[in-house]
Amino acid sequence: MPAETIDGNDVFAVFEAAGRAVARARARAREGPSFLECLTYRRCGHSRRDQNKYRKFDYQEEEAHWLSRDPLELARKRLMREGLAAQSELETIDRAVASEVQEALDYGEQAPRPQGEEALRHVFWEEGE
Amino acid sequence: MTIAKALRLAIAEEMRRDPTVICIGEDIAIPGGWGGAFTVTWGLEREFDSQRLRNTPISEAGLIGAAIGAALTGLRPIADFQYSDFLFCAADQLINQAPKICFMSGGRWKLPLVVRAPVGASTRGAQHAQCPEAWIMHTPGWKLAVPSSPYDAKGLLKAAVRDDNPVFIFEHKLLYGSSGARKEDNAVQVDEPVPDEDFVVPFGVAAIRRPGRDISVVATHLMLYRSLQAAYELAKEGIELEVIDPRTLVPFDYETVCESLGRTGRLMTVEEDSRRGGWGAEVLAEIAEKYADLLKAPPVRVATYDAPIAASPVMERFAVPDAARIAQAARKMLAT
Repeated sequence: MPAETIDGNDVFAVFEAAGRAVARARARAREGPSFLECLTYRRCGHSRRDQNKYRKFDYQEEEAHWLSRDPLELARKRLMREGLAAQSELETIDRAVASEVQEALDYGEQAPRPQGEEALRHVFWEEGE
Repeated sequence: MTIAKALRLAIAEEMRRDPTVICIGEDIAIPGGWGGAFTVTWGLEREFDSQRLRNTPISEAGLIGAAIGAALTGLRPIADFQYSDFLFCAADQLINQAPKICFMSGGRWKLPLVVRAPVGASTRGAQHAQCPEAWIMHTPGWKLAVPSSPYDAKGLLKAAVRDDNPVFIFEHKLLYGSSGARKEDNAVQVDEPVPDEDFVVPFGVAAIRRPGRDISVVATHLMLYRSLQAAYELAKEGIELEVIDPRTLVPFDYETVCESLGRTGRLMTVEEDSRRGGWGAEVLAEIAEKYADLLKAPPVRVATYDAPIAASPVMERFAVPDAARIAQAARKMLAT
């Protein structure tokens, strides 16, 4: 089976490698499945109380390396370097996303506290909701 | 001693006693880790190597399949599930394979397998909250223990390891007594001294946790403690609950329950599983079929309402029985 190891934080590398795999799968010669190993990193603990204490003791350097390689930041740099997007366009996207997140946060914080009885709703589909 | 520590001691003692006893599960032996999801195997990796204490990838079907294979080839595995909700990822192994191997081999193959899994609602949402005792209770071939105290946790787990059959141990998240980063909000502290010496708690022997003349209340895990709390409150009104901890659901000690019913004539089950088809339904049906003459009032189930458990703590508190709901059910039962 064809296999590739790629930088999983590089959206372009992932897109291109996935494209090659899809092309092989769709080829008339029926080249079949491919295996992609996308190297990446979990940026925080698994759950609310996971303090990551099981990591190797000298993880600080490793963590700093990966945190400096945020996939969005890497993509932004390349888009600008290659003239695919202007800084102002990217900033417009940033503002739109920040505002969408803020709206969701406001909605949650302003919503009334749940009532206990609501625990019994939506077990089944409710017509007209 | 806490339940988590009692279970840890039981595992360590059994592993020292018998070199064929092994543990297998996700993250059960990671230096600096938690020792499974709720600290039960914490630190055991310092004494036992990876041949005895096996970390597995996140595949419940894989780890329980490996445990079944190990049991068939001469080991006595203790398999660890992080949450009992994840049993369903391994349903084929747990329902179609493990409990049928002895039967399908015409009694020639034994399966000395122990599966441990935490149950109960603990503000983690619908897929980390279930109490699937009834699913296992319904499937012939499993024995099933539900320890609610450190003494029982140690003794029942040791008995399970020495049993030549598949045995489930369901443990409650809020009763473990886990500390540090794994401390649970709303936990019930059930520390008690546990003897150092080797002992087992036999399956099929219930314990009366509180004597009383009015209603026989059968309750497990967290609901046992909430029933005791309700009994304490009701005693002020002159109502005396007899609170029974069955300790194992398979086999179930109907004898102790019937003796109690001989005194009270009233039966109530209290469980954290949702009501429809829970273990309480089975107990009520069995008593109604065989011992109806002991009952002077219709039996009553108190259980979680028939809905998944919500992530909202307010909704979770509403759905799961508390002492007030148990007490109210008891008053109503005595008023009729």
